[in-house]
Amino acid sequence: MSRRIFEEALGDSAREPLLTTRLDDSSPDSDTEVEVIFEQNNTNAFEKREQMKLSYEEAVEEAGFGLFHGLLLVVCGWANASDAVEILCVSFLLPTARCDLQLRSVDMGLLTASIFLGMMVGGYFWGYLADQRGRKTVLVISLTVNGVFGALASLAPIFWLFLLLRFISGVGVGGSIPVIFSYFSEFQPRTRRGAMISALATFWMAGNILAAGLAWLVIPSTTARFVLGSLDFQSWRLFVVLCSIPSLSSAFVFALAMPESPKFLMETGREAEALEVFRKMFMLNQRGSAKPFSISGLVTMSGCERNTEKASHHFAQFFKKGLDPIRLIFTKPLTARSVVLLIIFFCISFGYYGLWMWFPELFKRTESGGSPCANVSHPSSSSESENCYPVKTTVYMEGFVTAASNLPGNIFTILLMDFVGGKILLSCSLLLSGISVFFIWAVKSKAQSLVMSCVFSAVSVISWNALDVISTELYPTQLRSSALGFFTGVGRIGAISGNIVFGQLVDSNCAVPVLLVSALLFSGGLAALRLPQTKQTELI
Amino acid sequence: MDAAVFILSLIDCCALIFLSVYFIITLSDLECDYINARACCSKLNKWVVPELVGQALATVLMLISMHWFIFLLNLPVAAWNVYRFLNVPMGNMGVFDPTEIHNRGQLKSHMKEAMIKLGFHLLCFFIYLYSMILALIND
Repeated sequence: MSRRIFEEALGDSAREPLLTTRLDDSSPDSDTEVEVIFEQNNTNAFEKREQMKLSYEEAVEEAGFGLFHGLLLVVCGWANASDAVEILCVSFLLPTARCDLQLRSVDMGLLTASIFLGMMVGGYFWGYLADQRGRKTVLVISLTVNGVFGALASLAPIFWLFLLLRFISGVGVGGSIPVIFSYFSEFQPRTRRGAMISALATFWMAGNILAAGLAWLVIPSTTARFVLGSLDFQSWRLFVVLCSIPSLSSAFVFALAMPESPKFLMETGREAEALEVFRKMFMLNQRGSAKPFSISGLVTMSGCERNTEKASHHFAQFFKKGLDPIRLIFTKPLTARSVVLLIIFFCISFGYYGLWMWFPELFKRTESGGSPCANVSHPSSSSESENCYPVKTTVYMEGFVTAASNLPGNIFTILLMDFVGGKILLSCSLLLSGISVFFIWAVKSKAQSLVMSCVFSAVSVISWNALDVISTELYPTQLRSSALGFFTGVGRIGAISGNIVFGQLVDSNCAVPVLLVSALLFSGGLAALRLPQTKQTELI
Repeated sequence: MDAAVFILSLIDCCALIFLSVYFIITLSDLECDYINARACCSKLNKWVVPELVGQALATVLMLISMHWFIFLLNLPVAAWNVYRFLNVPMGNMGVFDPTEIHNRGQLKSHMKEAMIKLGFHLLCFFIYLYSMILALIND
């Protein structure tokens, strides 16, 4: 007999008023009992949303994608480029410094290998520290070590001192690469991660081109020599000093302006700081639109466990704890992927770094013959009496062209990484680069050599980008830096072996190192077929 | 001649590395329940004899080229492979048996064996590489 009217209060989301009336025909006095019930649903829902804690992926999506990520890309990219410059500056100065420091081919192999030895020592160590203490601090320290000792190396008058200082600088470089990639990937939303990591890897190419360009400008010029005390400061020493400027400036920027990684902060239970970082991201990304910042809570994991970890002063305990992540990388369910990545990193580093560091030297040899291995009959004594000055600029021009041909490969990966997925790109590009190295050995004329080297550089950059993306995606956060550091270390062993093999054999049996590189790249491509697929899955 | 022997053993060593990686991957798939025991064991049993042959080839190569130290290094592994292959119990399907693999921690011991073999083959890879370089320089 009563007509009841239900109304709901209108909040942010307007709902249709539910009007349920039961009209009885035989009720003349319907006005007597009217119940109006207001339901205040929406204010409750609003309060609930404020108390909801967001997971890491949701918070990153919430913070948006815009100016902050662009700035982050530039800063991290500059640090990546400084690594490339430090590693490659040695290979560019080899043809010239050989006479000044009296180097045989074996010594050249040792010099290029020493950087990688330093990186191996530094790589795992810095990666582990970054997982414990935070990415940003580690980055600042390692970049500073890198720059300072690189610059000091320019003052070394004898070979052994130069070798030692480059080794220490290498220890600094070893920290940047694994930590930078972990740091950068932890700011990206899932759908953009592949493309952004490829974009970061593009800056390696930029560093390569920068080093090649600097070498082309500075080393052949005769006006850059002067006498500093008892040291004849040749143009290549000036080149070494210039090469350390990017890493020093990068360390400066990181120390002043960059935030700590939010995923790391969340994993260690520092929720307030993580919120602050997300707020900053949001502010920079949403300039111009009036959206309010709506994250109020974050899901932090293992907050209690972290409090019970005290700094272990006992060295043996620290050492054992340091090896823990390596053990964890090889226990299930990560065993299969770790073993395959081990093989791939070794093969790709042996091939790429072994060949790449020797390109300027090999180009110099193609000047006289057709292919790099044409002048095998020269005994090593006659090459010492060769005059290094005046410097042949064509060598540097070819180095520059080879570095520039990385660009199409990089563009290719940025566009296709999130579509095709890292695994397919990795195995195809490794197989292709193995084939191209084989042709570098097999061709007869200088121009063809240059073309095949350009092809090699374009294809191998695709494989490096794919490898970076895959190895970032395959490991959980608390192991990511350590895993990257470990595998980069394995890669260093490959790079050292590659350089030493080249140094020992390039004068006598030049075919062997080149063919070995080709075979290893090919095998790496085959091994990559066994990796799990990680296209666009969540960061663990 | 020496160089050719080492190049051949280098290639053989690479094949053995790939085989042990394949073993590790298959065994870890079984550990994580991605495949069942029958499929895993039939896959692995197929490759037991090729591994045996590859390892024996490397050992024999070192023997006939008279590199005694490397021969003695390879001999235990080859002997262990042969012993394991010949001592398969009567009712089992092969070295890897699906009914026995989950008993008495056999899965773990097979996994450990595969890891040790991987480490050993990596070590041998470097030894062969180094010896090959020496042989080529001294030619």
